[in-house]
Amino acid sequence: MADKRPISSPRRKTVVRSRAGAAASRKPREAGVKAEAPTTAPKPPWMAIPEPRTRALKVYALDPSAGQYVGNVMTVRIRWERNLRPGPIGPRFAVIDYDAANRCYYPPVDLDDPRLLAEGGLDPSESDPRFHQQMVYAVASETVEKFESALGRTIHWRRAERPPGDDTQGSSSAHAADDIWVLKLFPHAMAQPNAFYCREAHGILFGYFRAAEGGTDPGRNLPGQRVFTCLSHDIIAHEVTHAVIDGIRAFFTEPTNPDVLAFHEAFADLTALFLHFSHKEALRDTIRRTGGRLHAFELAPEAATVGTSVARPRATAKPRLTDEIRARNPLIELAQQFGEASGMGRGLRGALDIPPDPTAMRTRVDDAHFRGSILVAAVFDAYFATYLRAAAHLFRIYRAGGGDADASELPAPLADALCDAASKAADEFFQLCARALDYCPPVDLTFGDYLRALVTASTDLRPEQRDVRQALMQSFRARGILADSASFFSEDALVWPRVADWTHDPVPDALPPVVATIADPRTGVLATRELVFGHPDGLTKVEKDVNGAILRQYARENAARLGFDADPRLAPPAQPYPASFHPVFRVTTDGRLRIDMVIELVQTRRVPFDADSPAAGSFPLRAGATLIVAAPAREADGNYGPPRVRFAIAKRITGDEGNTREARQRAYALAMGLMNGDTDDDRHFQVDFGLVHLGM
Amino acid sequence: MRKATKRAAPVANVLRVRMYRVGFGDFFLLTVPSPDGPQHILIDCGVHAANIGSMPDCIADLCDVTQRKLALVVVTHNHADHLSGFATHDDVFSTFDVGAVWITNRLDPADGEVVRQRHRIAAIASDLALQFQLRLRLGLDEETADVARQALAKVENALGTGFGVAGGVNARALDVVTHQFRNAPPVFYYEAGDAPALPAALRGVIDAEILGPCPKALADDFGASDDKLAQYFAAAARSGASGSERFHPFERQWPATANDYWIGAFRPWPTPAALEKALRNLQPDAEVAAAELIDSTLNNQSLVILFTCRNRKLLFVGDAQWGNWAYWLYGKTVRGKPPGISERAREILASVDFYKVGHHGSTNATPIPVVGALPVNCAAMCSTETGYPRERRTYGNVLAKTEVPRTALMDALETRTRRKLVRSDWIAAGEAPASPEAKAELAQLPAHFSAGDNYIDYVFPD
Repeated sequence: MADKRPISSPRRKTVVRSRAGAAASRKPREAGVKAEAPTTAPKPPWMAIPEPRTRALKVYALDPSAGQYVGNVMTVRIRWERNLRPGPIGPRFAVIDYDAANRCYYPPVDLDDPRLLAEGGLDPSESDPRFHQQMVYAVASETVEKFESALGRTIHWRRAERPPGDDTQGSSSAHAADDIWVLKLFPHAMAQPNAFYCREAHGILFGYFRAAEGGTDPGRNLPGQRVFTCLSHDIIAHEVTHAVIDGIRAFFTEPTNPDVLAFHEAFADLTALFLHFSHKEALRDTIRRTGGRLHAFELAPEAATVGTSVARPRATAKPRLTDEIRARNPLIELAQQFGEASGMGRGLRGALDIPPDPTAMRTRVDDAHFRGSILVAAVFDAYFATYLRAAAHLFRIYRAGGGDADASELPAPLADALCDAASKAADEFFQLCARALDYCPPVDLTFGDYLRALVTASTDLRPEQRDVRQALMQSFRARGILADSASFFSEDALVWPRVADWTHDPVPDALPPVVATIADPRTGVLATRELVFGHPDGLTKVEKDVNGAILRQYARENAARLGFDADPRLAPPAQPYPASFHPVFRVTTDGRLRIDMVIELVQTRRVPFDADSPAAGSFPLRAGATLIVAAPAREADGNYGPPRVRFAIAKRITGDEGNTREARQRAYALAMGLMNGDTDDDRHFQVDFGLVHLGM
Repeated sequence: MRKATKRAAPVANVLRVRMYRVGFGDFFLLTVPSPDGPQHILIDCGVHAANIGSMPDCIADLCDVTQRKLALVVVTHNHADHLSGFATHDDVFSTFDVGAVWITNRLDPADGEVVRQRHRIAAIASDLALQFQLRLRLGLDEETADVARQALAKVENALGTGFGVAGGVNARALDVVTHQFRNAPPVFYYEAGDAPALPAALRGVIDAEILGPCPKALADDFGASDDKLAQYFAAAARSGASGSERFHPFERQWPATANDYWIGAFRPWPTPAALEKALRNLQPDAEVAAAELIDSTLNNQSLVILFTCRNRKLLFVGDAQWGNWAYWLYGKTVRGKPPGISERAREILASVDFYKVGHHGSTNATPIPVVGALPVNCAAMCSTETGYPRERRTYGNVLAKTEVPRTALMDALETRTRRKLVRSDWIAAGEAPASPEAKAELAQLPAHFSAGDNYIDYVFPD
């Protein structure tokens, strides 16, 4: 089955295939060219039909095991991508259905087929691999679009590191071999109960396996049936989130303390869970069956809403019919089918199944999933608190109008209003969680840092969200998530400090505007240039090169102020450099367009595990600063000022903080067994999601 | 076994550690002086991988030296490379008089949860052993076969298989040390903090402090060498090792080839075949990961003992890895805060006169902070097996910098101890010549060390 054609093979040529003859012809396709359409006479412009904005595709809202649960089969509307190739293969994702266990391919689905366009894609089916391809593509697209909406920019996948001294250093836009331009999705990559994002594969590998047999209860699955991780909405969203974060933050996959990996897991779970609340039909049903108490672990049985109160079975009676059985609340559990099929008897990592315990953060340091679930529980605690406040208000109105609050069936208008409140709050929370990524330090993240990022993002972007900030602070505190770097547990203390204005006699915390004298990338002429913020569609190649040159110089010139080692004798690879920069375009609550640039500056120092024994190897100790730079704004003199740094969120490599971080990272690396192996290779210190997710 | 044909010379009434060279395995005899003459403590007796066939001669020597009287027998943990000798020479050991037996409490048969855990591990290990044996019959390339061979060795070490002893040598050895000694000595199961009961012959002669394993109640925090695989292990313990079972996911055929996909989608791989190969290679090896987890879990159950005799302190750590060490070095989990060895642990380490290097010299078994805290006058012994210098070792890989013994650790210990680290493969024994690598590191034995036919002695200076 192995195809050894070189991609540049001269045999490649355009072919026109009939669908029926596709398998027989087996001809390679021409890069960048779709099958030719029949020639037709050009139409006048006024007759042109505009391109659709979205594409409708059917997916499971949860997974196949949820069967006909209301809303489980739903249609998502994702952004229309022109010239989507069979796979689907588009500019963001390429679904390649290669089964490495059986060494075979499965035929790709062509979502541009008119029959599928008319029907919203294939109907859900466990036995048709083409639906599996459709589902991973649809849910992956849905997930990315959520991030793009929250972050105010186009998501791109991981770009390879371009440290100083690298050949591509001169150009921030030059391609590197490890750059991921299109994320590959492999729906049936392996016969394992596993799914993971893998940089080396430039994508996500989904596994399939048999449900538990023998004495283990497979839940709603048949014993031994095939279970596909690519059909779990939650697992797809979780894995795509790993890829999204890796594209935004290059060093969040380097576990320098126990929170780094746990954060990656928690954030991926948060995304998957918040997506549940955007599925209106399922949400409305859950609200109906929990009486509006969305956080309830169980749903009322369907039979409870049928008949008069006299005829209904008592709540304590043993169920005799399927519809009398209480079901678990699917909105607050992840990947139910997977959990049951692997014999765990329940969904993976529930959102609220860990009661608040302020000591758990200090004692359960070994289990990334457990620590991650503490963070998930903290965020959802705050979310439910916010939702319940809104719900209580609606119930008061309902009761004031004579409504019976104890009725087992909520009236439709109330259920709809609660649904809107829950969905709106979920959207706001997800947006806040995602935007907080931009306010995190680039390296050595802790849960405490993330709390500060949440509070800062909320204060900076949605100052009116005081209730949300308070709810988050209380729920984090109840679970022992504190910010070591803040003096007090108050909103004022938790907000990252703003950078002081740059004056003629600047204070130590001030930073100059982001301006530098650089050689023009096209002409080579020296000129003083400002950071370029570009267009919402992204920066051009030249703009990226200009920004890269400005930021390299800025990092070196302000190294000491940014917490870097400012020694000018440092070799180029040890000097600070811009790891990433993203222009961000957002609309503020007063309707104005706000433009910022989020920049990661990083410096790496190699530190020996044992200074007396250099042969024992070394580990990378990194300093980092996230800069949030405001686009030029009109100033008092009526002119536009330079780009000013609003926040500088740093992890220092120098002074007491540097020494403390070095000792902590060394201890953690030793505890993780990282001294064993090729410590000269930075990849040795990267997390292997394939192992983290083994057995999920 | 070869019979002891000569009457051994009387053993001097001195404090001495004898390290037998058996291959990959621990077999240590500690002799302590007492008013009634030398008393002997046997600490483990096993070999598994790289068995050089010297065990019969070593046990013959043990019989000669001890006259089949042992004041104490210590069994550190449930691995064949620490136990097999008891099983393969059960007829010999059944003639021994023993004062007491100390065993890690993770092998206490009276503790139901311990027993269940042992059975769970054995079930998974058996499953894995079958899978690795199957792999090795598939004609794999050398590198892949080496990975499978090492993983198989680890699960066989946990099961005690490979010796032709029904049920495995580990179970048999535990039966020998708990029931088969001639005089039916008392058996004690210990964890850190327990006050051990010294047999009469050792009272007033030696003190012992149990430093590991961590108390069972804290095993979640300290039990694992790392957390990468804990999730898998938990799942596998419930449902068995799932592994990379090969089956077709769909009922019917879905014929397709790479030609059905736009070829540009395969970039940056030059051909679809290159991507296919990469995808196969990138899949995590669930079985190998589980084998490693079982290995480190059992190592971390090691009984760690600090003996004190005539003001000399001797630290025997079995195969303890990070989780075991962390408990008594820090007295708390250490990943959240800058740790610093606890004052008590620093005192202990600074006072150690003899260190039995953990786990045959693997990196994870001797934390770097420990090396730095040992006194420079400390002597150390490492029972290991390098064989000849080559890239592929019995365990680990030189190119991947995971070889056992780890060269960097050996160097660090040699430097710290002022070259008083001696490896068992420094001498010829059984069918194995001395390791050129070990000889290259140490031109001659340091003062107070001496070599016998199959062993190296360290006699503490007065």
